[in-house]
Amino acid sequence: MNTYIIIGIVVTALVGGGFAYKTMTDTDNCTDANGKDVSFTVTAKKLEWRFEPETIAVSKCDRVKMTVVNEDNFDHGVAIDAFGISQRLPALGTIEIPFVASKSGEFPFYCSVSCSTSENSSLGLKNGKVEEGPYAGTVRGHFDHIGKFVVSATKSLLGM
Amino acid sequence: MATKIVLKIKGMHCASCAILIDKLLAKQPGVTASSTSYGAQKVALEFDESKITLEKIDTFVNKLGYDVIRPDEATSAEDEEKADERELQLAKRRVIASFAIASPIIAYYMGVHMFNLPHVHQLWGVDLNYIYWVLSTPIQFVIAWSFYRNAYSAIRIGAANMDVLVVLGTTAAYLYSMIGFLFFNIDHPFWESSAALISFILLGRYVEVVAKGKASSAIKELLKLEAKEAHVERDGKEVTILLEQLKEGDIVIVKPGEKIPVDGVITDGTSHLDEKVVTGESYPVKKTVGEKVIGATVNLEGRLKFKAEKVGKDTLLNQIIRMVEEAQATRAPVQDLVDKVSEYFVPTVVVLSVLTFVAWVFIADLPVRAGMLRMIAVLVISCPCAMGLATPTALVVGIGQAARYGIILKGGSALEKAYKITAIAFDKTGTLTVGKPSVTDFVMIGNSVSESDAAILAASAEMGSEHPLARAVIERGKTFGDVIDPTTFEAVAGMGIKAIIKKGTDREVIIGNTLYMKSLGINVSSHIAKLEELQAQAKTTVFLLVDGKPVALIAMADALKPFAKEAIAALKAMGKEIIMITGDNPKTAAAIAKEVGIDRVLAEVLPQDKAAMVKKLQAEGKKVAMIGDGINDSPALAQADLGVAIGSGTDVAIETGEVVLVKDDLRDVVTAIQLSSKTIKKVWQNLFWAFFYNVAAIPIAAGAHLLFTQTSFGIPSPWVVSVQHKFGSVGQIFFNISQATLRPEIAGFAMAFSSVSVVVNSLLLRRYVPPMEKLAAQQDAEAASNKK
Repeated sequence: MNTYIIIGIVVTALVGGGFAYKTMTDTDNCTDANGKDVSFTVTAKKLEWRFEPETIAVSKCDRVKMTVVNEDNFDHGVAIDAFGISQRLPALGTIEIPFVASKSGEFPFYCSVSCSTSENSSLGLKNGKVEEGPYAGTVRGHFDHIGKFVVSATKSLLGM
Repeated sequence: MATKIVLKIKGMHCASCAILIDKLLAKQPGVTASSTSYGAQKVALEFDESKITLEKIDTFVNKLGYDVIRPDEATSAEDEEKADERELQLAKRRVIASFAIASPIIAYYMGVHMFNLPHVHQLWGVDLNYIYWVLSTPIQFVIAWSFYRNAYSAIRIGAANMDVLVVLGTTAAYLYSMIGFLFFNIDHPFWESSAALISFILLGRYVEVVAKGKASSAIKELLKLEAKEAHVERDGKEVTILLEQLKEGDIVIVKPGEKIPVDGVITDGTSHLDEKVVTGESYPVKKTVGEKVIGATVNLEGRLKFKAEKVGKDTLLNQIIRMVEEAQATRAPVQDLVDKVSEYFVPTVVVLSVLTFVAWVFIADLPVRAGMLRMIAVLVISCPCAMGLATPTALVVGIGQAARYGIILKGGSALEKAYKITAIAFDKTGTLTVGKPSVTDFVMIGNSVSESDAAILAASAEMGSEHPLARAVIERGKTFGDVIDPTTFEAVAGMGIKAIIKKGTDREVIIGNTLYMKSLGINVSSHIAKLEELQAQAKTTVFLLVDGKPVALIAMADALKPFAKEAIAALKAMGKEIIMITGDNPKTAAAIAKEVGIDRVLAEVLPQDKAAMVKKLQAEGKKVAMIGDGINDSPALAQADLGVAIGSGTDVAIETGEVVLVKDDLRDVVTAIQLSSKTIKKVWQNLFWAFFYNVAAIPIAAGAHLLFTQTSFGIPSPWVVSVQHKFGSVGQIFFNISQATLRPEIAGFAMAFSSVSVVVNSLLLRRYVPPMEKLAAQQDAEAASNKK
C-alpha cells in the first residue's frame, strides 16, 4: 500500500484518539458560567529584571486579561508554559494577553527573550548592580526575571 | 537474454534518491535487477532487452528528475569533468547565495541567544520580522526549490525520502513564523530555522559533491592517463593515428618519454617502463622482446616496437576502470540494512511528530502553538541524511584509495568479507614463490645412463609438461645438448610424468615424487635419506627413472618472492592465521614455511583438492581468504570466503577472486585487508554517529526529557534545582538546557553538522598509507639523513 495512505490512516487515528481522550478526561471543563473576568497589569520594571507584581493570584477558570508593560528600552517576552503563552514584549511597549486559567497550581511566568544582565556594561549600571527596587545592590538578569502565577482550585462562580 | 550494464546517473543528491530509482526500476517489466549507488552516482542494471529498451528506462528515470547517461551518450573524460565542475560550481553558488541571505538572520539570533544581549527587534524603526520575512522567502522558495521538486517526485511514487522531511520541516517553520508574527505577536519566530537549515543542508550537499569528486578522482586520473594517439607501422611507414583507429595486430612504435597506447607484446627494443599508474609499482621495470607491455604506462628510455594485442575497451587499464566503477556501483550488504531503516524512517518521523503534537495539545492540554513548535522541531531534527551518507561515502573513498595502490576490491561485499577474515591461505608456487624454480642438485643414484644423458632425457620428457618445475629441468638439460620432444607423454596430476623419448632407441622416462614411485611399485627406500636431506633444505625433490631404473634425484628450489616474509609477518601481527597450501611433500613444505614464517602447512595437496582444503579450513570455523595466482587456483579462490588473485595483470587473475592485486607484491595483501577493515570500521563509525544523533535528538526535540526535568509545566523538578544550586555556573547552564526543548534552528545546526562530520570522517580514509610504504618512506628519510 502507498506509504502516504498508511501515514494518513495513522495520523488520523492519532489525532482522533487524542481528541477523544481530551474530551473524555476533561470533565472539569471551564465554561463561561464558572469563571469570572479578572484584569491585571504587570510591569517589567526598568533595569530591575523583575515584574511588578511578582505574584498574581486567580481562581481556576477565570478569564484573565493580562496587560504587560515594558519600561526597558530593549525587548522582553512573557511566557507561562502551563497555558502555552509566549509573547513578545517590545521595547517600551505594552501588550495584552487574554487567556483562561484552565489549570490550578503554581506556575512561573517569566521573560522568554534573552534580555541581558545588570552586569552588561552597555547598560551603564554602577558596579553592574541593580540600582532601584527591592533587589537594589544585587546582580540581576534574564534568568531572574520570573514571577509566580497562582491559580487556586476553587472556582469563583458568578454572583459570588 | 539478460543484459547487464552499469550506467552513470546524474542529478542524485541524497541517498534516498538511489532507493527511489531502484524502487521505480524494479517495478518495470523486464528489469530483473537494479542496484543504484548514490556515492558512485551509478546504477548497475540487469534487464531483458526484448521486454524493455534502454531508451524506455532512460525516459522512466528522467520522469523522476534524474538523468541516465546511456552508453551512446557516453562522454569523454574531459566532458565528464566539465559537467562535474559545473555541478560543483552550481552547488557552490547556491550555498554562497543561501548563506549571504541567511547570514544576517543567523548572526542576529546567534548574537542574541548566545551572548544574551539587550536587543530591540527593530532596525531603523522597521520590525525585524518584516526584514527576515523578505530575506527568508527567496531562500525558502527559490534556492530551496529543488527540495520541493524532489519531494514531489518522491510522493508521486509513494516513496518518502529525505527531501519530504526537509520540505515539511522548513515549510512548517516558515509558515509558523509568518503567521505567528503577523497575527499572534509570538516571541520567537523561526526565521533563522528555515533559512539556516536550508543553508546548512545545501552546504552539506556541496561538501558531498566535493567528496564524491575526490573519491572518484582515482578513476578520473586513470581515464586521463590514456594516450591520445599512437604511431603505427603501415606499409613500412610510420604513421600517427588516433587511439580509436588502432587495431589488434598493429605494430606500434613508442619513443622514449611517450606513453604505451594499448596492451601488447614487444617485438623490438629494450627499455625501462614506468608502470606505476596501472600496477602501483614504484620502480621502473625492464622490458625486452617477448615481454608484455601495458597501455598507459610510460616508456622511459629506448625506442620500442610492439604488437597491439588488446585495444579499446579490452585493455587492462579499461578493465580496471570498469571493475572499479562496478565495485563502486554495487552495494555492501550493510547498505541494504541501512536503506531499509532509512525507508521506514521518514514515515516513522512523520508519525512521531504528529504524536508529539497530540501529546502536548490533547494530553498535556497546551495550546496548539506550543504543540506545533515541538512538532516542527521533531521534523527538522530527524532528517536521515547522515544515515544515508554513512555507508556510500566510506565505500567510495575506500575502494578508490585501494585502486590507487593497484588493489581492486570488487564491491562492498568484498570489503566486508575482507574485514571478517580470520585465516589466510597462500598457494605456494607462483604466489609465495617467484614460480620460476631452478635445479639446484642433480644427484646420480644409479649408473645405467651417464649424467649428461640423464639430464637430456629428463629435459626431453619435461618438454611435454606445463608444470612450472618442468621449465627448470629443461633449462638444465639444454646445457648438456639438444633436447627433443617426447614421442608419448602422460602427466599424472600431483605425482609426476611419464614419457617415451626416441634417443637412439625408445627410452621410457619417468619423473615423479615418492607417491608416484610407490604407485608404480618401485623400491626407492635406499635413497630416502638423501631425499629427505634435500627436502629439509626446502628443495622439491623428484626421482628420475630411465627404463624403470632409478637414475637420479633432481632437487629444485623456487626463490621466495621479495617481501614475502615481511607480508607474512605483518599479517601475523594483525592476528590472522596463516596457512600454506602446496603440492610439495610435507618436509619440503615445512622447510619453506619455516623460511617464510608460516606455522601451518597443508602439504601434498593435489591441484584439484585445493578447494577441498579451503573447505576443510572453513569447517574448522575459520573465515578463509585464499591468495592465489588465479590460474590453477580458481576453484579454491571461488570456495574461499574471500578470493584474492595476485597476478601481474593476467586475464584469469582479473576474472577470478573478489580482490585483485594488480602488481605482483605480497605486501598488497596486507594493504587490502587493512584498508578493507578500516573502511568497514568507518562505515560503522559513521552509522553510529548518524543513528546515535537521530535517536538521541528526537526525544529532546519532542520535549520528552521534560517528563524527567519538570514536575509540572514550567516547574523544574527538585533534583534539577538542587543541581543548579550545587554547581554554580555549570549548574545554571544545565538548568537552562534541562528546561528548554531543542529549538528547530538548533536542530538544523546539529543536523547539518552530523552530515558534514560523516563525510569528513570518510574522507579521512584518504590519509591511509600502507604500512609498507610508510616504512619505505621512513627508510628513505633515514638514508637521506645519513648522507648528510
